[in-house]
Amino acid sequence: MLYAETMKDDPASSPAPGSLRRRATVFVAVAVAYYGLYLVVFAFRVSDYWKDVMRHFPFARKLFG
Amino acid sequence: MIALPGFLIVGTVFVVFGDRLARALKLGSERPAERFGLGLAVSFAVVTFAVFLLALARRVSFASSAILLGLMACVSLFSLRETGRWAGSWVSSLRPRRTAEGAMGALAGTLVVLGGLAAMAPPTGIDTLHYHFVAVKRMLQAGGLVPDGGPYFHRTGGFYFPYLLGMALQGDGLAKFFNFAAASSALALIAAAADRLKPGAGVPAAAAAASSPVVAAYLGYEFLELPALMYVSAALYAAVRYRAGDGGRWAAAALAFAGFGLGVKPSNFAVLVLAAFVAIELLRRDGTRAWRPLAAGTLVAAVGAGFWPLWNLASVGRLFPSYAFFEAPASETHPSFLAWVGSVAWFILAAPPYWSDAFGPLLVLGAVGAALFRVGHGGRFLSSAAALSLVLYVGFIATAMPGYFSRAVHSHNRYLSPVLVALGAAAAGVFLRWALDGSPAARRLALAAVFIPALPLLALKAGRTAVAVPAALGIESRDSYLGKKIEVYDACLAVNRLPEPVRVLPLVHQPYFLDRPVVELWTIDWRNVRSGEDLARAARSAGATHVLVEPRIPENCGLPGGTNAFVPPDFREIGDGWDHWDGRRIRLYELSPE
Repeated sequence: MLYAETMKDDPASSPAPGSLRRRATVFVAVAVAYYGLYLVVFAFRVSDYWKDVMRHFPFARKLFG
Repeated sequence: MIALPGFLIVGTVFVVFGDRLARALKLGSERPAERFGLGLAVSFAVVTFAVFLLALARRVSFASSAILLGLMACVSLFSLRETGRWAGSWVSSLRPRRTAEGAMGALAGTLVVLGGLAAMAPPTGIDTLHYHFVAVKRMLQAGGLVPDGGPYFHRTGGFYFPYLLGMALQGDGLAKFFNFAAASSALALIAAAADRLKPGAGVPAAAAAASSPVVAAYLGYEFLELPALMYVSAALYAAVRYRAGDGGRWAAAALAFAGFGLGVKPSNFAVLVLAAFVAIELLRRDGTRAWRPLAAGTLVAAVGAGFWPLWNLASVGRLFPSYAFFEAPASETHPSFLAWVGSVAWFILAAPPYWSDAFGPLLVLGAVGAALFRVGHGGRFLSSAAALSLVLYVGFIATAMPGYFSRAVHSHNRYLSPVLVALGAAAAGVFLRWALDGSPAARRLALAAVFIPALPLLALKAGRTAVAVPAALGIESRDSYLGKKIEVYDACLAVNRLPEPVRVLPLVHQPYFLDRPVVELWTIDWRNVRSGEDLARAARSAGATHVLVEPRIPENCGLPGGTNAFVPPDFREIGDGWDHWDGRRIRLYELSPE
């Protein structure tokens, strides 16, 4: 059998529907928490970046300062 | 802007030449995105080695570069009509669709267009103007390779040669465009690999890759991560083709591309995991028949990864110049291994101090989701390869580079990015496709997972590009744009206008725009410089006539007194200097005769 055939989604190896739903719920909950954390950290990094741009370039200070 | 038609012609030659060569090697495809991506990757690999040979012979010039491009164009001419056909069908298939997949395609397309606009502006990358383009400019001035001895010159040779071709033919505009072309190839190949693993996963994979902060930030920029990503993506695509039963040539191609990926940056060593997967699969499946593709792939990989280290060995005596910065003093205390692994995990999961080094949460979720929900064998293959790459990286850094171990990890996530973005984005594409095919709730969650982190990033990229657009479109002059963006730019122009004889010692962070002969600052033995007088003596004996001084650089070099050490009679100031962000001034001095 070619590997291409084995690569198709295999229902036999997929989790049962009930287990899938539980797993999906936990996964989504963790994902939501992770996205929240990431966006907060990312916002701080971007804010640092803009502060750095403002600090370095006189034209940025004139435009945004 | 005026140069854009020329860039597009050169880009077309690269695509068609590479596509033709790939087909001659029986590595063909009928899918336009695959022909585009693979064509560019093959051409860049060929150009890298061809220009390296020209540089070794000290024969790099406009004429020799034009001849090389002309030869590629001659080969391409025979396929021009066919290329027009498949390119036309591809473009017409890219029309907007009011579906989740269409929205993801629009996101990837918008980021690529913004990157394309940024690519047309003059180069401003900090590291580019500090060493990547500086090394290439030095090679162009010398007509080829000269042992430089600079701490950065010998590290990362793989993509310097396409840059060198671009600079020899047109200037840094074409060199920048080559980086953008390589990034476009990477996105096409990631999409192609994902689509081969799960039909319909290509567009979500392209969106996941393009909206990874490290990719979005460097699209249209000059750093080496995206050219490295191109080769890693090509290796991944070829590996997927081999695993799908398309023949041993694809395994050989995967090994070869992995080698060229390693050649772009030695810090890209996690690509070896992908090569190992392919070699093991080859031996397991083909047994004794595996030796031919294994030998061919390994040979080309050795050329791609090895030509620059061998030149280093011949010229400066080391395969890989030391990463002196990372070699911590013996007395330095290291954090515990667990604490360090924790900090690595934190900076991979969240955003490192440079926002542009972040991978974004989508790639992590995609790889975890593909493994957790067993999305075909492809998802598991990608997730396990990504996990092993991470383990290899952490293990190697912790054991082989203790200086790095202690202090630099937080700002160098991007060294992992070529491998983790290729594997993670393909896994995310497979996972997103699986979710899009599920319930309406799963479809909405998949869209939210893509767009929630992508929208602020899109706004950031649009803002950055907006600053560059006037210069990119020719509305603002190069001098005006660079004068605002690069603090030492006007000072460099002043040095370029000085009457002969001039040989300048640039104590500045970004010496790229200096056109006059230079005495590199690393040729000065700073351990013996205890005063301005010592520096004047050392500079004179190295042949310098002038010194350009940016605040903080003399201090960083260990010169006692820093910028206050430049006093008469050894140093005579020319002009009144230029503003610096820390309130002091960038100054130009003439060295008095001994």
